[in-house]
Amino acid sequence: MSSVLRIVFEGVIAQVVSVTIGVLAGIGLAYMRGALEELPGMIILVPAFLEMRGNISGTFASRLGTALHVGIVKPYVDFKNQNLKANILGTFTLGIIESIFIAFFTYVLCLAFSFKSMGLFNLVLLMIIAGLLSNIVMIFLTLYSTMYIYRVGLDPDTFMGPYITSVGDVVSIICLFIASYIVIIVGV
Amino acid sequence: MATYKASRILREGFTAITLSVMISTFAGTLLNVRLESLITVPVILILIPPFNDMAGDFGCIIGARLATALHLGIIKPRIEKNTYLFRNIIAIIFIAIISSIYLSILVYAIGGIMGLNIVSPISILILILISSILLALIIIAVGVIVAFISYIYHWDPDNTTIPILTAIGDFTGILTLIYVASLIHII
Repeated sequence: MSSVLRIVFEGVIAQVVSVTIGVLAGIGLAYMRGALEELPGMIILVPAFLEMRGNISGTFASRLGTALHVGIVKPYVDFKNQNLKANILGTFTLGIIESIFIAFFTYVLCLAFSFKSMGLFNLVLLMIIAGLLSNIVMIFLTLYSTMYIYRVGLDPDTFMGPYITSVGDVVSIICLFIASYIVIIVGV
Repeated sequence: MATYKASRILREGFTAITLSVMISTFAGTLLNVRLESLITVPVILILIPPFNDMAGDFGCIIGARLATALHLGIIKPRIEKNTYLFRNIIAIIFIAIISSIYLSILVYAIGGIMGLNIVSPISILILILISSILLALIIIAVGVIVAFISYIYHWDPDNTTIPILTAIGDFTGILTLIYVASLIHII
């Protein structure tokens, strides 16, 4: 029975942290109600956008952790380092490509299920702006916090995954929020 | 020495992330069907990100533990009476119950501050409790199947269970939340 108690104890602590940060993202979503009504189809891409950000930032942090442990990247931001440059470039490009993919796939599903949608142009515009903004914020955030955690002597492999995916949810919602207003103003 | 190449990061990441993004977009279509109710009852909107986090956590806990147990030989990849598995299922259900109570209080308090509360605290608690237990049971069942099949086919369950379970968690999390909410007439 003691083993059950330990799993419950550790599990509840992890859940409380991620659920609390998740609620912050949820509040952002609730404030976005106006945009969700104004831009039909936007709600469809919300879970996918959060999932993408979590995956891309999580794998970026995990590779940085490995690179730091192996020693091919030093724990300070040096843009001349080829390994660091490749990681940033790969992460950035992946974020943009997946964002555009989400826009297209959402459009296809809207057609398939005959949902009202904001149109392909607006969907792509929304996802490019949100993808670009969240890319910039999340790449810098992941980079500097992974280096910092490593410098203070903690293992980024243990800390970065859960932290960066939860924080990524909040950042993604804020970026979607900003992007949706830009699309409402300049979109067709 | 350049060990990392941007093109390789792109190529390897693309397949896995595209698959999970596609499953999550289907989860989004479930939300779209009920968009009007979600806008009138925004408490459900607040619940979506934390609920997806919860589903992901359940997936990681059960996936990682099953993989370790299979590797160590504590459990065999077949359906039988098994104390280890039973203990883990009980533990996850307890985690679901305790986290649900915490999430209900948090969401109710925040809904109050934002002036969004049109659902009674008891309904919120019942909604979160039933849907999270349902979600935990589905994730456990899928986790056991995925882990057993992986192990039988000599794939490392450590690599397969978590990506599959977190993507399925997004979909089932939203599905159970909306299903239970309509069942108890919140939306």
